[in-house]
Amino acid sequence: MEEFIEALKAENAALNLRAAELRDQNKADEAVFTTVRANVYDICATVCRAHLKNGTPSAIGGIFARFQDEWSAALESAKTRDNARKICIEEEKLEALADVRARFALTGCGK
Amino acid sequence: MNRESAIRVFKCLSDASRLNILRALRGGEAYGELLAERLGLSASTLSFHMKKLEEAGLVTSCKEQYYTVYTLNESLLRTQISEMIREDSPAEEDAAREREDAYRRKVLEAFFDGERLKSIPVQRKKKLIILQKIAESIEPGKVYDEKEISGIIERFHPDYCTLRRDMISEGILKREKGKYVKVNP
Repeated sequence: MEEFIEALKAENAALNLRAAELRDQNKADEAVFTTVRANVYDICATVCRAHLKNGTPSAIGGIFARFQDEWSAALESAKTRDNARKICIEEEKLEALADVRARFALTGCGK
Repeated sequence: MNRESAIRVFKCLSDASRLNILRALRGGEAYGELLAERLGLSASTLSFHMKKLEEAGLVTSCKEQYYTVYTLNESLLRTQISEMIREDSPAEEDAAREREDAYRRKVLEAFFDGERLKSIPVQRKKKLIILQKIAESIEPGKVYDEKEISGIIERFHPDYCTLRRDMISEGILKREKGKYVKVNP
């Protein structure tokens, strides 16, 4: 589990670096989308760390599922309103979350 | 081209990815999927950029079965910058002023209940309108102590500390040695 959290932290750091590069390249909007993606790894690492500390790692899967539901609903809402910026942001969040959930499944903690 | 349209174009062009898209379209119309692949962008990111370019009038799109084809708006691209930055005509200026006034009235109606401020807006543009309205009760050039200035602001909203601080940061009030002066009438 510690290794999993460290991997999320590493992904967050790498994406923040990428966002800085994009800003330097005058790609401000893509930098924002990348920062959003980076934040998902940070949030998930924080959730995992808290549940590990409380001795409740089995609850993590449920939290991730709740994120999935909320962000999927936000994406649908953005599509209904044809809000291209919000669509990008919600898609970034969901893609990063899918990656986190796939890695989490490998830890065996969700069972 | 009016001022708003020119600003939209310049804002749109101040992004390297959108310039890359325009460069790619100089070779001729292209499908969204093809552009995304060629420029290394995800479908949703390309779609976001294309929407901005379309809103600025720099490209047009049309649906062909399942695909969207994008084309450059050559006539806008040939517009000279000198033409884009020319002064608005008096009629355009009047229209812009009317729009600003209408927006100001709408914000004041939404946030004020009589003389009381219902809540402090989060958006800076709206907050500035609110602060300017409150500042109408402060005499320009007159020196107020903190109790006096807080009392005036408190008549509008109980969180006078936040509003007072915002008025300073927006350059409406100036604080010096505990005294306050309205500097931006």
